[in-house]
Amino acid sequence: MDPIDERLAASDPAAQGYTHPQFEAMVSRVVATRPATRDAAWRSFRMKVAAAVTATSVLTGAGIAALSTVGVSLPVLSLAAGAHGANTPSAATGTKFAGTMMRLELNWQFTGADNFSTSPGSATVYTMTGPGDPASTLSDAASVLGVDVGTPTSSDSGQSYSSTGANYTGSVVTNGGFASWSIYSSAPSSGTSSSSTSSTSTMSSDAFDATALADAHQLGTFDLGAPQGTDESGNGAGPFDVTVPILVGGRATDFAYDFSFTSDGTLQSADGVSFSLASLGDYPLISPSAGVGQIDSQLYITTAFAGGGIEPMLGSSVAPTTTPGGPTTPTTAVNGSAPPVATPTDTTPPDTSVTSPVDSTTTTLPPTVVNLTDETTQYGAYSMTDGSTLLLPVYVYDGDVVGQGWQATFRVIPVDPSYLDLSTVTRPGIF
Amino acid sequence: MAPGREARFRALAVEVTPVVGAYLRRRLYPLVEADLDDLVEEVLVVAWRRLDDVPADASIPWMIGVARNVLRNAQRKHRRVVAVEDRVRPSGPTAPAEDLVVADEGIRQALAALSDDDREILLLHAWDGRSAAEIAAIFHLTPNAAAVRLSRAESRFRRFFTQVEVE
Repeated sequence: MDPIDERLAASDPAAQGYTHPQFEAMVSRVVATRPATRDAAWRSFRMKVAAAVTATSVLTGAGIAALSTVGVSLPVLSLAAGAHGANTPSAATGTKFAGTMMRLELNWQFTGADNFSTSPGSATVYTMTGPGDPASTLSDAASVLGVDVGTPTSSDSGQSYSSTGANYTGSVVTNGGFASWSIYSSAPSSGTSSSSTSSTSTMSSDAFDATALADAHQLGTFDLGAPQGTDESGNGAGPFDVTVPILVGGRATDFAYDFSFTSDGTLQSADGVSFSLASLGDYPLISPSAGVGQIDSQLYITTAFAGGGIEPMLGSSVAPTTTPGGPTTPTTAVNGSAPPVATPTDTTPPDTSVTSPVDSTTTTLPPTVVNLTDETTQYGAYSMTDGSTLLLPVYVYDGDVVGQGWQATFRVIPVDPSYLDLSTVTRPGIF
Repeated sequence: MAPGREARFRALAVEVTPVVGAYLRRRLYPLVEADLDDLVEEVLVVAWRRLDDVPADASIPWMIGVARNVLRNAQRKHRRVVAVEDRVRPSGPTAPAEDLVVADEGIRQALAALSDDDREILLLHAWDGRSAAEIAAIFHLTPNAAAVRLSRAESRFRRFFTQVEVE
């Protein structure tokens, strides 16, 4: 453990742990309360899901058989749930109101499908493989960046490595399908926006972009997008952050290289990923227009995507709010373009909303209408039930939330449903 | 009540109560220590009611997810009460709990510089000992996404910490 980690761990305000002073009495009180029972709506929903899974299985078999006759056989893509193993084809969340349990069913409505192409297409699906030697990945990255991070060592059987050199510290974490590395300066810096010695950079923003792009080209063999630079200070004092997107097949992905420089051009930090791709095959896609119809059924899955530059999930829950004397209305953020009121800390609604006097009531919220205006096809990383990580095509829809004054982005895996198995992805915990 | 269900809950309570209690204690502000036991019990009530939904292989992340919501509800309720009491004078944004409970100035400043998301993810790992996979379960992220978020949060924290220490 390095000194920073030690100080962070030593700051734990609950290092002494926790023991309930009257544990047995508490448990007895809890079990004396009435446990929740499944309501009819939930059972009906589960039956519908089961029916849908059965239908999908039939379609899957038929689809593969049909394609096999023309010499093409593609494996069905079975998406894994997170470690929680919870999700359903319908986005939903819930909350606890004054001691009662009430499930809130979201009610999304999407318009604008007519704005998009009705032509189905195809896209290559890739298997992602992380580097066999993550320590070397970190060392190689440090070498490319011209910094010394020392010799990486692992304390968890090779899942992650870290090291500290003269002026830089590095770490790399393996994630199955890829490795994510990070290098940052551990030396005193001069030229940062928060430093009293900060000064306006003599380098142009283009120079920072060019440096980052050149480094990114050496860090991997990926196709790269245009660098996107920002000055954190906004006044030329830096730090200057540059993101270099990683492209696959000319399309944006969830991955990128990120750099931060001080005003004098010294590297302050860099983050990146390492993986290789192998084609799993060209999969048929539904059209962007038809993909709109899949948004709701994939809402939870596709917002839980992996990779760099991600911002959506922590702001993706729906927080019903109460208008005094009026109905509950959802305020939702599905990606980084969060609405003004739906911050991650607002994911649980206040308990002053309309309450149900009976446990297990399901309440459908008034519809939230989203007028979709733009669609782009990108790639996103997803975990499969067999432990593999795939890079899948995704349709990314942008739209205006009608009456809310903010925009939202939604993602859909547009692979023909015959080749998508979502049955293992079950409902997240709600209450 | 079925003995099997109760036994299962008791086993779960024994396993998760220390973890949930420590999680809540770390983030308790502006509530006080006297509220802690009640919050733990409220979390366990949810677990008891929804015992069939608690994933066998990820009970702690699931419980932490419940604890987050219970805590935030309680904190909101507290703030509303305070707002009523203090209606005559304006109030600013509430500081993160870490601002009040972390004695190490450098650590506190670096934590305060992080976004809420980064801080929560970082501390779930550093203080609560949760793995990336468990953080994924708590936030409904994929394990890969959680690992990346954690790595970035750590990187940002280190950068802020280095800046703070220099100053």
